[in-house]
Amino acid sequence: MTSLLRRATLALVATTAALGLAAGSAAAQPNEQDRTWLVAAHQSNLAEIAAGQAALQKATTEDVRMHGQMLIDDHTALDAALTPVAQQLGVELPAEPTPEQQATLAEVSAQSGEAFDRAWVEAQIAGHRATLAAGEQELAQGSEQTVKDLAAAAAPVVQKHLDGLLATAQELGVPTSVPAGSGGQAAASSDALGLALLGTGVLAVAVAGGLVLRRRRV
Amino acid sequence: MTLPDLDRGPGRERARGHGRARRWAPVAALAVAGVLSAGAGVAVLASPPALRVAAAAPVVDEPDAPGAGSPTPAATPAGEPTAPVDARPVAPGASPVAQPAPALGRSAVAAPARLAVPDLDLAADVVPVGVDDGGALEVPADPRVVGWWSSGAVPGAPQGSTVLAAHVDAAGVGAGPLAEVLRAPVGTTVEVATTDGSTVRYAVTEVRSYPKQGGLPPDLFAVDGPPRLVLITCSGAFVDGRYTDNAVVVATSL
Repeated sequence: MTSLLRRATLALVATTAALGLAAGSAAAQPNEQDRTWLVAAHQSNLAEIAAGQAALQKATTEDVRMHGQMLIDDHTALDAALTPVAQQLGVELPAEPTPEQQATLAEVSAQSGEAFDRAWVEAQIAGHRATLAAGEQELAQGSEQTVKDLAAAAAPVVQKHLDGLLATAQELGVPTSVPAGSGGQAAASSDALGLALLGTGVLAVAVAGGLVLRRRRV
Repeated sequence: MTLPDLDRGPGRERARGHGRARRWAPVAALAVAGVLSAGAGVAVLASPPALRVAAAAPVVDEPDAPGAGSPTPAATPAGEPTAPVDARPVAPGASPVAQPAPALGRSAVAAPARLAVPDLDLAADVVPVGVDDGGALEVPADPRVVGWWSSGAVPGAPQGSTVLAAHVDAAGVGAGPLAEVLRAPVGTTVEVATTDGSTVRYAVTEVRSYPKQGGLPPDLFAVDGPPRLVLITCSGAFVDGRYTDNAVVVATSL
């Protein structure tokens, strides 16, 4: 229901953007920020769709699979709104996520079982935060209104994903222990003192023993 | 009366064996010193280092729950000044990134990059970390580097704990900055700089220790509670290569 509503809203934004561009294409002057954001947002969409598919295949919990499907649906819709705008503005879009995004997904997909779910959620939290930050930068520094409209429309969708992912991370398990001092310096330094004392002591006893033997012989 | 008696015994002894005692005295002294020294060495090796934090008693703030296992009431106090999540300016014309106040006007997303306690002249880099298969936080090996649990809240988020952890010390490196932070008085300002260049300031409200056996209260990691900074390290006795307790510093957003 809400998903339908969201997609309808995105479709509306896309149409408005396309119309706006058609009407005032002479005035469309994307700056470097607009171009950068279009490319980055498109690649994030591709990365999150791919991650969604990985979740459908490998996730062990229903919650993570649900997130995966949501990512596929929402980022497909976001990208469908973005692509025509980029085309109108003559911004070429790459066909794949960034090498870094691909490496992250490969690393996550190498895991299995619960470890996959945890790694997947962790990677998606970082990815969605980066996407939000990129959107904020576009809103602040972009010049082309149609591009800024896309960033503004994407923000609540991405924020909603992030909120859901953070809640899922809590359910998958917060850290149960913090091993924060396995090679204690205090222990190391007192070890050194102890060993020195022990060494000196043993040496002294040995020397004393040697003297006793020598004197007995004499 | 007793004095001469006391004096006489050893006196006679001394008189009788004076020559031998004189010859053997240095050897005996050496042997005794050696045994004492070795004993002291063993004692030092066996004794735990003194890295202790006041046990599970809050220094200030917060009505303590009986049992002291759960440091924070789960419910957010009414009237908590949290910025609504949808406070982000959606109007495209508005210029939202006018810095700094990350909690207001836009939702914070930038990761912590540096932790500093100006009053103690301490600072450390912060890196994102996760949880291993056993559920343990992956604390950076170097105590001078602080790990941020990246599935928790970012500094400046309208709600939730930003959890930072570091080794209290390490062999060959010495004590890390968190060893010092444990001694920070309540009210001490703690600053966290983020990757987008903003700084979020906190004030220490409590320092506690938790025996590791019992684990840490899960709500220390909550993302839906009040916005706060949770610093975790180790404390207590050093037994079999590990500390017995976790020390936790909680600081609330200024």
